[in-house]
Amino acid sequence: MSDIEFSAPWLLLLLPLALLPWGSRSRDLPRHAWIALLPRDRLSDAIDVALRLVATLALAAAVVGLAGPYRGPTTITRVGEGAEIAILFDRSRSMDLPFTNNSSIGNRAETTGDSKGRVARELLLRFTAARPFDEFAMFIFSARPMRALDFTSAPAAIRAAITANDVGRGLGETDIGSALEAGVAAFESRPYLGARVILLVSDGGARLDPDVRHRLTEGLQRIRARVYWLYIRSIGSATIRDSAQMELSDAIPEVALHRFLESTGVPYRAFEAEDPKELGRAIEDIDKLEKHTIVTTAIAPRRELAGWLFAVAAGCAGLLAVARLRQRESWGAA
Amino acid sequence: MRSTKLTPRRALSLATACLALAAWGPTVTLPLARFHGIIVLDVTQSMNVEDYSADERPRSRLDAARLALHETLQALPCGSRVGWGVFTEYRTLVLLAPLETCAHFRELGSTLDSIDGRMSWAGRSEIAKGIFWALRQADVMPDKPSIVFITDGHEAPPINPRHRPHYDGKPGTIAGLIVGAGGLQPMPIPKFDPAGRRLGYWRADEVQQQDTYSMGRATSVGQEKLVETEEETGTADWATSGNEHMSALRERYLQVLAQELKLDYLRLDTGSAGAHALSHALGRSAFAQRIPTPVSLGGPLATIALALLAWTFRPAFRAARYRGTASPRNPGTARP
Repeated sequence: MSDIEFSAPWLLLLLPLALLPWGSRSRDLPRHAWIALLPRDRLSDAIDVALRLVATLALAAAVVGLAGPYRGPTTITRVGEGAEIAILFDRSRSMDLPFTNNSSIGNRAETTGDSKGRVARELLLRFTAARPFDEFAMFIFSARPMRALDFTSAPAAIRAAITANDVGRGLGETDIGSALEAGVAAFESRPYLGARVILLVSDGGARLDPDVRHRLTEGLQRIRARVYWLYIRSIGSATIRDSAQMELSDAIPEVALHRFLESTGVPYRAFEAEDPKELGRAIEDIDKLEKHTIVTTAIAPRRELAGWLFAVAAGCAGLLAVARLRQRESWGAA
Repeated sequence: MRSTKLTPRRALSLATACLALAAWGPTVTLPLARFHGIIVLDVTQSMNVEDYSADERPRSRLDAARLALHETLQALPCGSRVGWGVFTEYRTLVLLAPLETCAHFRELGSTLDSIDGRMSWAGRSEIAKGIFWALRQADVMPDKPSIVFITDGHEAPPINPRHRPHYDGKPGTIAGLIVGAGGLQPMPIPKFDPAGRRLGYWRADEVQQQDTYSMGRATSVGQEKLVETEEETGTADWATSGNEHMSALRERYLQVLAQELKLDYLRLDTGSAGAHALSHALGRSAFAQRIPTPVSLGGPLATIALALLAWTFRPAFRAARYRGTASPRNPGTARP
């Protein structure tokens, strides 16, 4: 429970207005030349005081309401099924190229269809929209990782971070190692709330330096991450799909990255997608895998209290209006 | 026909109605002008020059820009939409598309905090091209955001004023503001490694001092240049200074760019004065878009009600004079 605050506290300076009803004796009363001769009536006196009190309350409530009282914003705890997901999104130039499938090899394929990046973004938009309890962070990376969004569950913010990548072409180089390290670092300063997922979306792999591999292995274990690699495969790139084909040498960057991530000791799965449909299925799979209880805190917007005060003031003013109806304006005209 | 004179009874009834409406909380949706744009920060090395100060500590240009932008985020009215971008090399990269500021204050603030020199993906700093890029991107975005570009104007490598990059778009289609960050006194540029560790300052022999045209080709005979010399061209003082390892705000250059591109120019002053000027500049209608904004009618209605109540219970100074005599409203007892 937080304290009540005011959006326009200076308006409280108008509160002395509430004393107005106590200022005069005569205006409210029917006038009569002989009023001084009327006998004192205790009931009338009581009603008079009561009506003045009601008037004071009406004025005070209206003034306080105008000052804009509110409570909050408060943090609320949400329990749901989800995860904390750090998305590492490849912004290298190759992601601007279209998918290529086996039936249309060659240059023609490169000039038709949506780019890999665009398809991946569309699917990420659907994925994030379908998971309201997740906290998403977004990193884009080329030569350097860049944090576009810290962990949040605000849908508009997540959309803005994903759609920002629609603009402008990709950057030249790719450093997956530093991107993964940024993903680890993102979790390191946070309390453990629930499942932690690093979702790497890229169309290529990398052979990482031994010290980077060492730091990553330690870091991934320390933060207890699960790693998913959405490998968007291009024509001519190596497959990591078949374990049988894993005799392939580590000289192939994709195979090297796949083997490294398998060796880290944290839960890891790779999804290889050659076309938008496969990419969609991979995202559905991740959606199914990541159903764990997560306790997150969300900021509840502040609660405006002016409405209640206006309602009180309306009640009081209504009472006074009714009292006036019953009161004789004058002795003579009645 | 009854008199339309305001009587206490009518005032009270009217006040009751107004307050009841206010309590119900009606809103009208008005197309209000609100800032809508992408704010691009130069994250190249010259932005690390510490020629600002805050809390009696030297602050880098980038720090000063971030501090001012935090204050600006707070000052912008709800409904404003801000996006972030970074500039390095010759291009601008949008990190976050425009987002409503009040509902996403935390998200916008934390992304702003993470914008620093380590994001820089290349060593070059071709500012004119970066501004062109930002304007072109805004032009292809469906919501046509305005562009705010915060930079010190330090081009690296230096440019030749006679051979400046050319903007192929139409100036004026995208509204924008160039914000000049930095002091006018040249200062040494701190040097960082890619991990953000400080390595002292850039030295004169470590940076390209002349523009590419003046350097000539590798095969040129005896320092022959591809362009006329400075004496011939009367080099403007915003071009190469021969001290490219030192950096000051190249204000004249940025003003020339702003003029050519039909953008506004503002120098980022230090401290909250600078922040205030920046948020004031962003409030200009050229950078705003009219978006349907719900406006509460509760306040105006309650104000009317309060005025009616105050009128009803106003002290009866004049009435006191008539006390004991005939009431003017009561002709029945008036003296003939």
